[in-house]
Amino acid sequence: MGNKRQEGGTGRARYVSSGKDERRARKRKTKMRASGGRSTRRAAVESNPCNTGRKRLRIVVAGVAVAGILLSGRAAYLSFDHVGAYKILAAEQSGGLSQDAAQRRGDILSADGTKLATTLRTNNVVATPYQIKNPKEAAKKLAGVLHTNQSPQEIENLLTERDSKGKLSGYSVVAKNVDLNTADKVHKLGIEGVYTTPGAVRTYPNGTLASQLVGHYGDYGQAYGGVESRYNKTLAGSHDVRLTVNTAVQQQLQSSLDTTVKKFHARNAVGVVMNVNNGSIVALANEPTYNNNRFGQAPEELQRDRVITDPYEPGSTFKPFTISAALEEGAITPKSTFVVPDHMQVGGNVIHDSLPHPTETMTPAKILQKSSNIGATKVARKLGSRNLYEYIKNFGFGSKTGIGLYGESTGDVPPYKDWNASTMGSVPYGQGLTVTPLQLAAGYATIANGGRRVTPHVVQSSSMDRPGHRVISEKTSSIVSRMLQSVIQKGTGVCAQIPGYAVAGKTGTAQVVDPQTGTYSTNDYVASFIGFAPASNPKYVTLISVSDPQGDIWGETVAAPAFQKVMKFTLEYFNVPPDRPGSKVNNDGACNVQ
Amino acid sequence: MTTLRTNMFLVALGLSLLGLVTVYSATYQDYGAEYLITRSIHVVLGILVFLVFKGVRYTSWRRLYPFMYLVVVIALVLVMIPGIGVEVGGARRWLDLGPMSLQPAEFAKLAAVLTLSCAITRYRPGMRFPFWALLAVGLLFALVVAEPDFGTSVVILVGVAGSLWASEVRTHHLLLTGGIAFVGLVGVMLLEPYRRERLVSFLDPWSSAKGSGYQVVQSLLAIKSGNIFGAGPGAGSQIAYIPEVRTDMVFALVGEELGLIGMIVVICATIFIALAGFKIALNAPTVTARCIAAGLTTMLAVQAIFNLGATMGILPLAGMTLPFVSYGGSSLMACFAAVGILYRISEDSERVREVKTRGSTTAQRADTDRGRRYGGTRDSRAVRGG
Repeated sequence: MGNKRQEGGTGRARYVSSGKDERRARKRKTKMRASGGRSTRRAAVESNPCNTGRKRLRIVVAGVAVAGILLSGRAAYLSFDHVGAYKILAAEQSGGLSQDAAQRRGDILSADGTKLATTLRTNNVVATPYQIKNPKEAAKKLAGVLHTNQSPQEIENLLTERDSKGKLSGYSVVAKNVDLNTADKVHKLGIEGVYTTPGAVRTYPNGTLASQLVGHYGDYGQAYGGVESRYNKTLAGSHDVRLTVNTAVQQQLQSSLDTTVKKFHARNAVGVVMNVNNGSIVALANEPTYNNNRFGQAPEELQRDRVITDPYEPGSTFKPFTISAALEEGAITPKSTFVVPDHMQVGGNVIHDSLPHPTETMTPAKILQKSSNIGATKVARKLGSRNLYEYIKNFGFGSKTGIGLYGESTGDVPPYKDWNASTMGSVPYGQGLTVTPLQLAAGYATIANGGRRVTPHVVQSSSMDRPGHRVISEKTSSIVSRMLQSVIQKGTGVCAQIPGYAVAGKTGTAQVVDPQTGTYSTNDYVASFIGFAPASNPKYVTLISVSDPQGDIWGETVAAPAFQKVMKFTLEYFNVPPDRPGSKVNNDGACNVQ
Repeated sequence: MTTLRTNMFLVALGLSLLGLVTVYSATYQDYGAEYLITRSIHVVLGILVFLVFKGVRYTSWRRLYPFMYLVVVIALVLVMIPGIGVEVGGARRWLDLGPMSLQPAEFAKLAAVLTLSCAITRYRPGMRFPFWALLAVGLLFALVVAEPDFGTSVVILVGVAGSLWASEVRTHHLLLTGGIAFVGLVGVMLLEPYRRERLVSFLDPWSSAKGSGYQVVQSLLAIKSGNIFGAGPGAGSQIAYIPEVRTDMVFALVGEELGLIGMIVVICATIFIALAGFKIALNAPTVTARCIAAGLTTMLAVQAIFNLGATMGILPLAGMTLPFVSYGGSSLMACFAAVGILYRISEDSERVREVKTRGSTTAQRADTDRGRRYGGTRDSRAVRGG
């Protein structure tokens, strides 16, 4: 009997005016079985006008009944399945590593071959308490071979562990992560009810080195942040991951940041050293840092890689991008002059230079040397807001850098339709938009390498080494580079001078928006310095950024000395030939000696 | 029949009292009697709601459902207004009414089934597809999704599907709509990263025992530690680690404290309520009544199955409560309202049968058939039109 046909009949049922009594008298079953034939169908329909839904409902009833049986089965299975219980307890107590022990996780190596993360094979000693005949004697024997500082009494307690109902339990961990030798000895003791199970433990031989960048692989097989998380699949497949990071430079960067943070009682500091030509990251650090072997105890805010996750208003370090754009568009030339007063009205707001000064005439180079906000704003006015916006986007701000690590922020570049008169009184000198330290370093790499974008990356990869599209011409690049050299020679950046090398760079002292009031804080600043060297043929860009330094807020005195130290070390470590041999430091001793 | 519907109510009451015990044992260490008292008030309110809904003749829903629909829609909109709706953990789901807060989404479930059931039976059977009724229900669904309350919105869809399935709408129409709804639902699910994560962690909770698989892993550990007889009420220790143990994960608590026996009792009781509801639907005198009964029962059944399945690690977590057992006043009241409606349908259908045995000519006078559009009784002469 066609089901569909039956339905069709049902559908028409109510327009059939009357039925015949004798047909109605028939039993329903007979009608259901009746096939074809107009009259039969009508009969079925009439005495049973709305049956489709009822039939369909029976399927649901059966489904629910089956579900009930399955659920009961599952409940029983969970209660009776002691093999599963063992597995669960094992996973909980040994940290879930025993299941993965068969396949060893790959190492994370630095560019110089240092193991930043590795997996050690270990063994766990476990017991089945109800199988142990003489716990006291067994405990004594075990204490003799285990070097875990457990007393025989403690071991005996573990061997006689009881479950919630007071019976001897079926599973107890006696010692975790013992070496193979010890495990062998335990095995040879031959105590019934005491076993060894293979385990593995992820360790970080240089605990605090690049910990945020390396990330962490947890006890339950969960990767948290950094390379561990981004390259989890590769590592899980027993492949090593080799980074571009150099251990020595990384160490230097961390120690310089550490000194700076301590000296100025700063909230934190970040630093990046990057190859300007291919974007490979030589060092990347966050201070204060944490020890990856004690990940659980580390406060969460230290585990974050601020270089990619925390955007901030870049302040004066952003001015070279405004100048570059204006030069590239022909809006200004290196010889253009601007009348720069001490303060100026822009779109209803009054903007100031950082220090009071009489009205001066400045060239673009001078604007950078003096780090004049008003000068940068006047340059931007010549360029036009639309062009400025396009260049900001082209330099890579407001979008991810391509480093690929999880948690990267794009920063916040206000969309052009939201720009108004006062935007042009803040964005040209780096306020009113946010960028990540990594975006900033990549932007400087573009200025340094002749004008092409780079893709910052931490894992060795030839495809990522290729430079990207062109943002500014080589000519503009070299003009801005020379201007940035003058900042170091006679501007705000004198503390960044390195004997024997020409250095180009820019200081920044940015205001920070207080999240409570939504206005700029009067005592919270980010002091930063970014520069590249050797300026005549740039190799490395280094960024140092210090949050909320106390006692001194200026990029030139807080961040530049750390930059100098790290950059000098990097150049010398990689044997970069000096481009200005014999040059001396010329800063009148104004700098903090680190 | 009398015993069936009464038994259904008694089983529901029993489950709600079991919920009282388990909620108390999960909270007495930290909160003393606070939760015990609140939960007792909820149970009393639940019984009152049952009595009220039992008092409404099912045919009256044809007049009442627009009002109920309107009230629920207004409540769902109010919930979204900051200051009126209470925000907890990024979701606005509660209306603060002084001494207690209401969760309009729970009542949206009832409104959805009643609206659809009453509206679709206005259509000729098998002729048209009930677009407008579905659109009205879609609004409820959208408002609940917007809160966001994914679990409850799925329950609404399930209830609606139950009603439609029991109606006389053509099967291929239903399967087509079902397919579209399923694709949409999967889309909504995959859109939110945390739901995607839940789905993945369901497939292998152990890989993320500290992350998104945490709840399920802890719940399995609790159930396993309960063994056959359980640790006894109030003796659970594992349970402290389970988030949401009072609401979504209450079954794990049952497993740990009352063991396999307790779990089987809860499963059987739940399935009994479902089967009783379906029996009432199958014996219902009209298509409207059948749709209402089937919709409400499907809702209760599927919600229970999903909750039980998720707690035992065989279905993904969807954030659904266990009917009658989980802590939560609105949820309990909505469940008792459903039982009240089912109870009344059962009573009414018996009345129709009595009238019928006295003679089919009097059938038209039976209360239950007033306002019927089609298919009032199985007596074809009672069908007008054509």
